Amino acid sequence: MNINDEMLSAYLDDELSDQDRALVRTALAADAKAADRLAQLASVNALVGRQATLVDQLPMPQSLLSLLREDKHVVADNVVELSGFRQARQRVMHVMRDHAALAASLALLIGFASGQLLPLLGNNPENSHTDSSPAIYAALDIVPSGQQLSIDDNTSVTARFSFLDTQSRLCRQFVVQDTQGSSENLACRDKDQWTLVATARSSAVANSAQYQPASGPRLLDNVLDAMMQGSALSQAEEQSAISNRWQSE
Amino acid sequence: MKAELLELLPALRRYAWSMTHSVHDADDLLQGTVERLLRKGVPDGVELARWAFTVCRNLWIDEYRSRKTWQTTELDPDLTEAGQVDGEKAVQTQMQLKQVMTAMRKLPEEQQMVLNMVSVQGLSYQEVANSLDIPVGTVMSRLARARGKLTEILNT
Repeated sequence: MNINDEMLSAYLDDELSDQDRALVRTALAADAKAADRLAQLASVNALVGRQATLVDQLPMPQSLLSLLREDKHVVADNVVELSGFRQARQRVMHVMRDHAALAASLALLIGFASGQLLPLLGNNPENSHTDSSPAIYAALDIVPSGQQLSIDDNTSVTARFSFLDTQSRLCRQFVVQDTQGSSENLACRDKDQWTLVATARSSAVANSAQYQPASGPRLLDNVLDAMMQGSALSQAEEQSAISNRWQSE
Repeated sequence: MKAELLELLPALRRYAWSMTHSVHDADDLLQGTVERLLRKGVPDGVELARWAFTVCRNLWIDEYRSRKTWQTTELDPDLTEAGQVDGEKAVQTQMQLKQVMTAMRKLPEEQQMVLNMVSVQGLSYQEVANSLDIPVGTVMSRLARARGKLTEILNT
């Protein structure tokens, strides 16, 4: 039987009837050309899927998040004021209710942090970024949200936004990129220093069967939902915090 | 609905990106989609996720496509920067992905649409057929032609 692209393509998508699937399998076993063609189509299909995920690496526009996270600041035609987003407190309760596994996720995330981010931040003496941790925290002191700061040839810090947590600590969400990849992180200001609260590495998370249903950043969103007092700092508020060296009032 | 839309945002954004191939246009399209969903709601008995993709696609066809910014041959600089990872392999991957994006733009629009709905959005053939009001056989043939054409372009 001649197996054409339509059959192979549908075979890839698991859209064939049992009978046709069996026919394709038989053909693939007997015909090297068909097997090669399937490999080509599968490869292209994987690339198409992968190029679509490239956009995941860029932060979601703040205005869009505001549109969905804010109730009071939406004006008549649904255009949102852009002065930082405010997290509705009710969403925290919603997430706490809907994500029954949140506590377990948090615990796992913290365990995950020990293995993944702490080396990145220099707690592992064997790691090449031993000196990076103070620099990363120093970057958090000064970099405004939305901006990236290179702290050496291989490492950069990008601040996403700042907020007050439920303990009234000033906290920041930020991304660290180095030669080993990137991580999404949360750190809060305790007295005169930053304390790492949570972290997620997308690639490592994706490799863990336990985390398959949710990406790293999404897990971090859940942590954020539980931590945030209700508002992200506006640009002016954040600038004030930077000027005050992140000392809580 | 806002909480559900928040969950949907990453997938919707991929879909918008796969159609526009420009981060700026994708985010613009995404914003328009969300605003329209919030303004007009979801028809009774229709699943939000499915409706959201439909609104996004229709908005693209009706309003954004005419801008033709997607025809640019350059890879979006923001995306190039964001996708950068050190190493030769990463460079190769970037080149390969750029080739894929360029190749996808050469496909007829109806093939791009079906390919995106199946390979990016993850819809079944039946769902695509229902959404576009075409027979399942047409979905199958468009998809096969799209993948075949991409294979041909990328291997030459």
